[in-house]
Amino acid sequence: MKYLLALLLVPALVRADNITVKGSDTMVILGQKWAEVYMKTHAGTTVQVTGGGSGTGIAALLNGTTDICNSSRPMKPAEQADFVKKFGKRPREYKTCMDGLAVYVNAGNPLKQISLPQLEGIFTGKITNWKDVGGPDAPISLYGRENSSGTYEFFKEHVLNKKDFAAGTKTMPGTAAVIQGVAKDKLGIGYGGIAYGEGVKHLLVSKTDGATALEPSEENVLSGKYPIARYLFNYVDPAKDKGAVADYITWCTSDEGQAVVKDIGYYPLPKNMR
Amino acid sequence: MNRLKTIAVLSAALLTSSAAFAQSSDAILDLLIKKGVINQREANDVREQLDQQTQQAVEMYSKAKVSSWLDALVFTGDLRLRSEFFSFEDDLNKADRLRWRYRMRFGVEARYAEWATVNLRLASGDGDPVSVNQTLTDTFKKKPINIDVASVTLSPPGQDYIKVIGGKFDIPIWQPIIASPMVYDYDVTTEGVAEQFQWKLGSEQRYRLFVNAGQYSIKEFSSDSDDAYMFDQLAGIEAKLGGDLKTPRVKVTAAGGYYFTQNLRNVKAGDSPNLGNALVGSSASTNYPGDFQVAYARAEIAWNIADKPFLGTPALLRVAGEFDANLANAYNGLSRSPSSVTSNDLNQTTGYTAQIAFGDFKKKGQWALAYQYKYQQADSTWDAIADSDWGNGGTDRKGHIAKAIYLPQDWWQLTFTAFITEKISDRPNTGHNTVGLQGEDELRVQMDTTFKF
Repeated sequence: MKYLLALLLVPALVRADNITVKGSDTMVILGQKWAEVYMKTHAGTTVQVTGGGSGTGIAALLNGTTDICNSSRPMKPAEQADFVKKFGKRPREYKTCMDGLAVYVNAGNPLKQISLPQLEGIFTGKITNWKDVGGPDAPISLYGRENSSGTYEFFKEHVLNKKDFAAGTKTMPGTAAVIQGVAKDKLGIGYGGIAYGEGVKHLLVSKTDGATALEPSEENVLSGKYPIARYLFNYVDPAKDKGAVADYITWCTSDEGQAVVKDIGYYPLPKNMR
Repeated sequence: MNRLKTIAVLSAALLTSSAAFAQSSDAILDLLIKKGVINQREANDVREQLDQQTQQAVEMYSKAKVSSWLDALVFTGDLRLRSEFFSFEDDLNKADRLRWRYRMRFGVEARYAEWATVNLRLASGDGDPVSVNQTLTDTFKKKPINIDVASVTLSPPGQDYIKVIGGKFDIPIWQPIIASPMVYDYDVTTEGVAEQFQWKLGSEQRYRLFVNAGQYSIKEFSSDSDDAYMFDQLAGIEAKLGGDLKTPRVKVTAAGGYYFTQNLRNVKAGDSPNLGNALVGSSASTNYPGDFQVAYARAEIAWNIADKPFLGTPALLRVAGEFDANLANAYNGLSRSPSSVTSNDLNQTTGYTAQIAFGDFKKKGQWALAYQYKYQQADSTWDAIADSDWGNGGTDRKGHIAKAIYLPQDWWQLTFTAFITEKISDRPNTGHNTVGLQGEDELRVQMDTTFKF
C-alpha cells in the first residue's frame, strides 16, 4: 500500500512545465535549438517551438494560444493596443539577439554590392534589369516573404519605405525557401536573416548610393553601421512572465542561450543589454 | 545599491509623468538598458508600473469629464433626395408619373464593454417594411418618423466568431451587393433573433467560413397561437486570393441557404406593400396559399484588376449572381380554383439574377457602373420583403437594371438607376398580381443625391 501511495504521489511532486513558443520563421531554427539545449539541462520542462510568421505569433499571443511569441520585428502600436484592450497591460518585450538582414543573390551573379535606394527600386518594381545596378543585362527575379512574416514587414518599412512590393515578387513560405529559390535562379534576389545564407552570395549593402558598402558582420551589426540591422524579440503576456516561462526567457539571454545564438549564426546581445 | 537607487529615483520621476510621456519614458528605459544600468526584466517592471499609473490618471480625468458618456456613442445617418419617373407601355392605359421623395435616417450606436452594442435608428416613411422613402405630397403635411432599428448585438469577450442579435435589426443574412436584391429589399429590418458565426482559416486567415441564421416573427395573433414566423439560414465561404489581406487581388464569396415561413397562410396579402404572389381568392384581403420554402445560392467575385486606379476609381470588377427556387407544394401545385390564379402560368417558382459592376464608391472622386439582369417569377420568393424598386415592387418581372454612382465628396453621393422591366406571367392586372400585362414594358428611373454623416 505504501508503495502504491508513493507511486501516486511521485508524479504530483515532479514539476512538469510545458512552454509553447510560436512566431517568426526567421527565428524558428534558433528557437528550436534553444529549446533543445534548454530541455537537456531542465528536466521536466518541455518547450514546443513552431513558426508561421511573426504576425501569426503575435495573433497567437493575443488569442492566448502561445506562452511566448518569437518576433523578428517590434510589435506595432495597433497590436499593442489590441493586447492592452484584451489583457489590460502591454506585452513584455525582450530583445534576444541581433540580426543583419542579408540581401542574397545567386552565387554566379557578378554583383558585389548594392545600396538601399537601389534595393527599394528593385523590390518596388522601378528597377527591373540587373544592368541598372551594375550587373548583367538580364531581368531581375524577385523573391520575398509572406505578409505575415516579420522579415517582410521589416524590409517593407526600412528598405521600401513602406511602399508596396512589386506585383511579380515571388512569395516564399520561409527564409530557407527564399534561399533555395535564389540558389536555383541565376537572376534571383532575396532577403532574410543572416543565419540562413548558405548556398547563395551576400551582397554588401550601403545606406546611400556611393557610400561605403558593408557586410552584415557582427561588428557592423552591433555598432549599427550595417544599414539593415534589427533585434529579434521574445514577447510574453505579463501574467505568464513567471515560473518556468520567465526562467526560459531569462535563460535565452544568458551566456548559455547566447552561445546558441552564435552557433546558429545570429549575433549575441552585448552583455550590458541582457 | 546604487542601481536600486537609480531605479527608484527614475521610477518616481517617471511615475509622475502623464500618458503623453509614455513614449519618452520607453526611450529612457531603453537607454538605461543599453548603458547597462538596468536589465530588460527590470525595465519591463518599471514600464508596467508607469502604464498602470498612466491608466489611473486617464481614468480619473475621464470620470471628471462631463460629457464622457458621449464617447461611447457613435452617430450615423443620411439624407437622400430622389426624383423618380415611371413610364408604362401604352396598352396599359396608365399615366406616366413623376414624384419627389426623401429618405432620412438617423442612427446611434452605443457600445458597452466590447461585448454588447445597442443600435437605435429612426427613419422617415409611412412604416412600409420595404421602404423608408417619403413622398413630398399632401399639401405640406408634416411627415412621420419611425423606429427603423432597435437592437442589441452580443459577442462574448475576445471571441469574434459569434454574434447574437435581438430586436429589430438590419438583415443578418449575407447578400451580394447588387442593384436589385432577390430576397430582401435593402430597407427591410427584420424582427426577432439572429446569429452570425464565422471561423477564419489558413495561416494568414485568408479563408472565412460563415453561417448566418435568423428567426423572425412575422405576425402575432392575439386570438390564437398560429403566429406566423420566418426562419432563414445560410452557410458560406469567403476566400481572399493574392495581394495582401486588406486588398486581396481576388475575393470570392459563395453561399447557399434556405428560408421557410410558418403559418403564412394566416397572413393577409394586404399586409404586403409589394405585389406578385398568388393568393387564395382574388382580392388583396385574402390570404397566401401556404408557406414559402425557398432554397437559394448566391455568390460574388471581386477582382482588383490593377493596383492603380482607372480614371479616379479603383479598378475593381465585381460579378455577382443568385438563384432562388421555391420548393413549397402550395406554390408548385397551384390550381385555378380556389386560387386567384386565373391564368395559364400556374407554377412560377424560380428566379435568378446576374450583375457585372466596375469601380467603387467609398471615397471622393470614385465612381462605379453596374448592369444587372433579373428574372423573378411570381412565387419564387415572398413578395412582402422583396425589392420595392423592382418594377412596382415585388415579383413576377424580368428585365434590366443600369446603375451609375459618383462621389463628388466623401459625404456626397450621386446615383442614377434605371429599371426596364416587363411582366413574366399572364396573370391578370388585378388584385395582388403585379401591375401590367404580360410582355409590356415599364421604365422606372431614379436620380438620387445622398448626403451621409
